[in-house]
Order: sequence, then structure tokens, then C-alpha cells
Amino acid sequence: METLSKIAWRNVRRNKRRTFLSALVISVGLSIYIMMNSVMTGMDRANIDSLIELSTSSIKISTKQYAEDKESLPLKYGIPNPDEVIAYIQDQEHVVGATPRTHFLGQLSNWEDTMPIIGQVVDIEKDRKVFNLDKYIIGEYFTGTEENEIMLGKDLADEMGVGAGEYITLYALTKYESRNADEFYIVGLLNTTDPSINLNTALISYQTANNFLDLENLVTEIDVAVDRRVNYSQFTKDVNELAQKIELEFPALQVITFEELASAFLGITEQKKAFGSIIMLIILAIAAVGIFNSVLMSVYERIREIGVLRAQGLKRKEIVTLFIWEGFFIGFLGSVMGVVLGCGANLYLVIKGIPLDKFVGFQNSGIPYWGTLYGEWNVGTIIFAFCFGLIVALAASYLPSRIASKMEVTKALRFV
Amino acid sequence: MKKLPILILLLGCSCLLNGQNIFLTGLELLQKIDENEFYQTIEYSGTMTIHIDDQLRTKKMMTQARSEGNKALVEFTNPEDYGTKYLMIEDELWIYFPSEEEVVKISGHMLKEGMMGSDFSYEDALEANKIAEKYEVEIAGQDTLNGHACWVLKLNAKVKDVPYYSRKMWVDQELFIPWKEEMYAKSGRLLKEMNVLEIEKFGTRYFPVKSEMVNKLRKNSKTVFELENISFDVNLPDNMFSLRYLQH
Repeated sequence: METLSKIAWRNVRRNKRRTFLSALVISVGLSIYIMMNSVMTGMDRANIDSLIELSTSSIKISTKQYAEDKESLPLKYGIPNPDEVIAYIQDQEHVVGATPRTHFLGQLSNWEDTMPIIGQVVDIEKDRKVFNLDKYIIGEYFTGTEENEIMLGKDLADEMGVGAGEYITLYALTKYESRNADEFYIVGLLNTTDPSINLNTALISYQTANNFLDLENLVTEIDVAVDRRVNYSQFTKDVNELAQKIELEFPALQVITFEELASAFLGITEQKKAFGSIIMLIILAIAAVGIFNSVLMSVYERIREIGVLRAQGLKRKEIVTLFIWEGFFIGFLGSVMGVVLGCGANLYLVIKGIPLDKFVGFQNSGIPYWGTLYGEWNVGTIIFAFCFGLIVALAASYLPSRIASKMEVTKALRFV
Repeated sequence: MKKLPILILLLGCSCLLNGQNIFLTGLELLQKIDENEFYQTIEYSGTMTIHIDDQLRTKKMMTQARSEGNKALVEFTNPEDYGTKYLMIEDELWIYFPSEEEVVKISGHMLKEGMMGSDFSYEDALEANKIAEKYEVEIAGQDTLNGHACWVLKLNAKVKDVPYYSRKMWVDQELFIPWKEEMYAKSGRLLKEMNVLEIEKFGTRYFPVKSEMVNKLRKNSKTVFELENISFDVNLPDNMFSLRYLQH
């Protein structure tokens, strides 16, 4: 066995060009697989990141009554001690920020037409630490200098025929259900990846809402941002642990993680993953055909050599073993090259990413994330790719060498 | 003090009071309006014409109402909404949808929405007479509206839970009918304007038979309400204003 492996290794080293080409085919197939897997996992993560930074945050806290009646966005179930809750959360590990928000129903009027909106009252300072709206703003964020400032979804503003720097009338019910309407200065527009924000959201500050909605600093919701981890499982673990802590500290409150809030969305992501697996399977199949073909050719090229070996007294089993060793060395070499090449490319994807916004027309493509798409590390995929390369190379050497070893020695020697 | 929902009130009622009222306070004027509006029961067929831009939508209905307990039953008779019924008792409202054979209770912010897509909100229709309790009333002056000498009343909310923060009423100095009412937001912006367009005399009382509600947040948006076949103090059975009857 040791002799055969040494002969195989010598053969591999002796035929450098053939070995390199075979290994290259394996490595290219595997590196493409590793990169594609990284990009697809990255897309799923970008979807989740978008959802968290625009809508759900990592954890949402409200009163239990509000959670039961949240469809009507009532202004009567305020969190009794929001400052205390926020202070507690901010002291916890992995917390980036916590901010109050209060939702309300209203209408925008340009005195020609009206459009229903979902209003969100935000804390100008704290909100930016939790929701990453800045990169989506056309115009400015709240300045706090104007008494009545408002930010609108871009599509909503387009429908109403207004833009940043103009005025619009907001109509809503106060906390005491009295009708109110007033003119607001549009500081900025939100052009996000979430169509519901673009089409029906208006943001005002607590400073404004205390007067306009008689809000008296009523907070219906606290949103928490947890530090983003590259490892998604670790991130969800951090989020769940923090949610449990908050629940224990404030048992009267409803604490919901983004996974619970967006279960339907995440379900769709899982379905997409299944579809993605089919694509990956196709990539693997193409890689396998490449590897198979490359190793197969190298065996067939050497059928005469097999005849010589048989004539020299080598048993069929020994010949098969010899070629399996060669396949193993080539497969190992190709897999190592593939993993190194794939990981190297992936390192770039994870650190630098793909700047999607540089692609013309990308923002209108319907893909729910903008900016830079980052890759994700997936150790399982890398190990799988390595093993796959090795196993396919072994299989590709076993089958033809077995057939060749069964040939008559004279036939094998005459094989062209 | 008794005041029926505005929807019914639109149809309102009034009786002639030709006495001198120069020394009445704002509050007393409101009481006079309430007294004029009082009736035991009323029955009428109504037509609600909703104007939005150039579009017109018409809703026809049969209404029976009883003053005691602020009860009203409205059944829509136009083809699109045929069989849909509203039951109003005090400040609660139930809607029966014949296609689903289902009764839905309307509550919360839904009461502030336009009724059947009109400019009258459910709350406008349900608003029980708590005006004097919830508003400071003052006579702001006199005005002439369509040839009628009117007192101009200013109503400012005393409490925060009022549908409109302030109101302005033009009340006929002789008939004690509010010919016009403006409803204002907390910011002071005009939200709605109600105008009585026609009144008719029934025995000794004058009653608005055509009114309009203008939505000031939208251009060209108003709802005109017309009444026909009005009968006062008819005999209405007790079980008429019940959920069981609503599904009948």
C-alpha cells in the first residue's frame, strides 16, 4: 500500500501539467461554489438586516394590551416607565441603542386630495442609533429648529405632489381622540428598500407630537438595536438572551424579537434558501462533471501504462488502488486550492462586498437591499466543498481504472 | 338636555320661537336649539349624495329614530348597499352586512372615519348632546346668512376628549336653527363646514330637510343629505332598536 501511494505521488509530481490542470478544474468549481454560497447567504442576511434597520429593530417592546390591539395603533396603551426601561436596556451587553417610538394613524392633505398614512413619532437623537434611516434620506433629518417638521416616504410625497423643503398638512387624532390638522415643513424624504415605508409612512418628532397629538411623551413602543454579528446564529442568540432578560426585568411588558415579528418574512427567506439550494446543486453538478472529466481523461490517457503495469505483474486491485491514490492526491490538491481560492475571494466579499448601488438601475430592480452586498462565512460549506472535491476525484479515478484494469493486457498495450 | 345624533339632527327639528332673545347667553341659545330639536320619534327616507371631485355617489336610506336613549335604525336601499343596516344606541354603533349576514361593532378610531365614504363621520352621526358639557360657549357677534339674522356662537373645548377642538355656529335668531357650523382642529384649522340648505315647516316646527357637510381637507369633497317623507312622533316598536332586529 505504501509503495503504491509513493508511486502514485511520484506519478502526480512527474506529470505536473496534467496534475495542475486537473487540480485547477476542481479548484475553480469549488471556489465558485464557495463564493456563490457566500453571496446567497449574504443576500438573505442583507434582507434581514434591512428589515431590522428599517422596521422591526432587533427587539420591540410594548404593553401587552397594545400588542393585542396593535392593528389600530391606539394611543392609550403607553409604556408606563419608558425611560427606566431604556436605561436598563442600554446597560446590557451587545446593545447598540434603544429608542422610543409611538405610532398613530393619520392623513396627509395638500388641500386637493388626502392620503392615509401611518405616523411614527421618533426621538430625534436616540432613533438614529437604532434605525439606520440616514442612508435613505433625500433632504435632511430632523433639525429640531422648526416647530412642525415631518419626514415622508418618497412615494407618498410623489403621490401628494410635494418634495423636501415644501409644506404639507397632516391630519390625525390626538391622544384624546380629538381631530387635529396642521401644516408641516417637509425636511426630508425616505427612499428606502421597504415599499410600505416609502408609500405610507410619515415621521414626526416627540417635540412636535407633544403639541400636535397632545402626546405628553406617551411611548407605545421601545425599539432595541443589538450589535450586528457576522455570525447570524450568534446574533440571534444575543437577541434572544437580551429579550429574555428584559422580560424577566419587566414582566408586565410584551417583548418580541425580530424573528417573531418577521416570522412570515423569514419563512419566505427559508423557501428562497430551498430554491437557492437547487442552484447550488446545479453548480456542484457542473463542478462534478468538470472534475470527473478531468480525472477520467487522465486515466484514459494512461491505459497503455496500465497495460505495462499489468504485464509487469501488478494485480488488478493494485492498479485500481494506485489510480485511487493518484485521484486522492489530485483531489486533495484541487480541494485545497479550491478552498484557498474560494476563501480568498470570499474574504474580499465579506470585507469589501459588492457595491450594488454602482450598478445602473439597481435601485429600481425590485431587489430589497441597496448599498453594498456583503458575503457571509459558512464553515460548513467550506468543509463540504473540500470533501466533495475529494470524493468526486476518488470516484472519477476508481471507475475508469477499474474498467481499464479488466482489459486484456495485449488490448491495453495497443490502446490508443 | 336632549340632542339626537347629528345625522338625525341634520334632518333636525325646530320649532318656532319668535320671542325676543337679545339677552340670551350662549349656553341658553344652545338650550333653545336643543329644545327646538326635540321629538319623541322620527321616520324619514334620506338620500346622501357624496361629491368627490367630479364623481357622484348616491346612498339612499330609510331611518327610524327615537329620542329616548338616542336610538336610530338606518337601512340602506340603494342597489350597492341594499340591506346594509346601522343600529345606533347612545354612542355605540353596529353595522349589519347582508352579504356576510354578519354584525360588526364599530368602535375606536373607526368612529372617526367617513360613514359609507361620506364626509359625515360615524362620530358626527353619533354625537350625543354633550356640547354644553364639553364646550365653553360665547356669543361672538351677529351676522346675516342667506338673509337670516344669526347669532354667531363660538364653542371652545373645556376638555381634551372632544371630536373638534372648537366650533362656530350661525344660529337663526328667530328659528333657533344652526344654519351653518364650522368645525376646527386644535391648531385652529378649519376641518369641516356644515350648511343647512333648506328647511320646511312641519306644524309649528321648522326642520332642515337639506344639508351639506364640506370636507375642508380635500378640494371638491362634500356630502349633501336630503330628507323626504318625514313623519314625527310615529309609533315605533321597542324591539326595533335591538341587535336581534338588526339581523332580522
